[in-house]
Amino acid sequence: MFIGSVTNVEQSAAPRADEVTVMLVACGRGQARAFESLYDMTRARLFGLAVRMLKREDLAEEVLQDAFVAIWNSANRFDPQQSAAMTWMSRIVRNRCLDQLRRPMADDQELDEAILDTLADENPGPLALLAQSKDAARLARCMERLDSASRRSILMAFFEDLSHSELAKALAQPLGTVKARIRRGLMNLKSCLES
Amino acid sequence: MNYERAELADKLAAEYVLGTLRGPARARFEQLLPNSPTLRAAVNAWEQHLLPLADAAPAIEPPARVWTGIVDKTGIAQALYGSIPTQPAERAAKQTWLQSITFWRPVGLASSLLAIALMFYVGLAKPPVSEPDVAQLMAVLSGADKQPVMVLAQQASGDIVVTVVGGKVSDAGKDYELWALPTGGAPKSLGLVAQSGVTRLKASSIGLKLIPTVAISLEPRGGSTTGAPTGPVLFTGSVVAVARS
Repeated sequence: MFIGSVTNVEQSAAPRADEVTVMLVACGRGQARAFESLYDMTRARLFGLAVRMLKREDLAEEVLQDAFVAIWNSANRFDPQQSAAMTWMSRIVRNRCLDQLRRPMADDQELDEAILDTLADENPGPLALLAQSKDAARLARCMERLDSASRRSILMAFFEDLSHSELAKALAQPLGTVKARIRRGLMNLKSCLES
Repeated sequence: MNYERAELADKLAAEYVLGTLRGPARARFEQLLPNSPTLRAAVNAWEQHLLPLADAAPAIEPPARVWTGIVDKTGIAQALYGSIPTQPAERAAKQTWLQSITFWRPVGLASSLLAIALMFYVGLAKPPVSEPDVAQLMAVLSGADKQPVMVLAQQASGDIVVTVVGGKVSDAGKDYELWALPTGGAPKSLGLVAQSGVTRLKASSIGLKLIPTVAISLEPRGGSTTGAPTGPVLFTGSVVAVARS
């Protein structure tokens, strides 16, 4: 008999950046078991990112799979001095999502749906989720300091892959206003993050 | 590069990472990247700033078939399971998250791999900001060859988190059971541990503070029924206190 018991996933605190780094470095040295642990630690966050961007779970599954194969094959090129591990992995996933999104299929209707999805998001708001993330704690605080219009524009650009003119159309604002607002928002984020 | 051009490079890098740089401008920027360390550094800096926005999306568990596909395409099935797994969903059913682990001192580590990995880990560890449940005790378990197989941490809450980091083929028909080995006392079971990935054992009354050693034995499915290890001890590790940062 035993006293402890194996539990299933509770959506409790996500792994700290450091654990992911250790696992990714171990993967770079060919440790398959570490790769399995890395997948355990990060799969839900990365799948969530892909689903959020692609709006389709079937496409997101393909992207997640391809991304992790790429992560395994290129883990030896990961340099922890250059990049956070989660950033490095998120970039691989996000770039694959962007490739999917930029296929010449987007039309006005898809654009409208994408915007409605963003605005009608029933989940805890993006900012609340960001604030819960240990990796993004700093970013969350800096995002909070932006005015809500800048914040919304940046989130939409990041997840919906909208250009300035698409954003301007979605928000019914002049192009120049949108561009300047994003630029200001990014500069404010940068000085906040680098302070 | 003068100040104005540096500013422009930074602005373009930000928009490139955010995704608002499009069309011909984007194509030209991408062409410049391979030859410009300055631009690449700017892009990298903006990636570190912006990519954590990914956590603003809710986490979603992917289906088990994704892992099956990954194992298939990377060709690591042999390394993980010793044979092509017929029940991959079984492994995927043990889904756990690793709790935060703060700064700690690697004591008596034989493996250079883990030691190097931990050096990076230690170098990147930041002082916790009111961490709710920090690791207080840790152990690295290894077999006779001294290669680290698992890392164990006991949190302040008492929960024990075990992460498989190395090792070879596991025995599919049996279970790993974790034991606390008090000095001069009988082994006490802490529960069953998955043979790969991450396992979290709920807080038990057994604190590891006074326990010098932990061990993994190979037991029949469901664990030992006698209250003591019945199978061979595969891995052991010494329990060390986490350094307070």
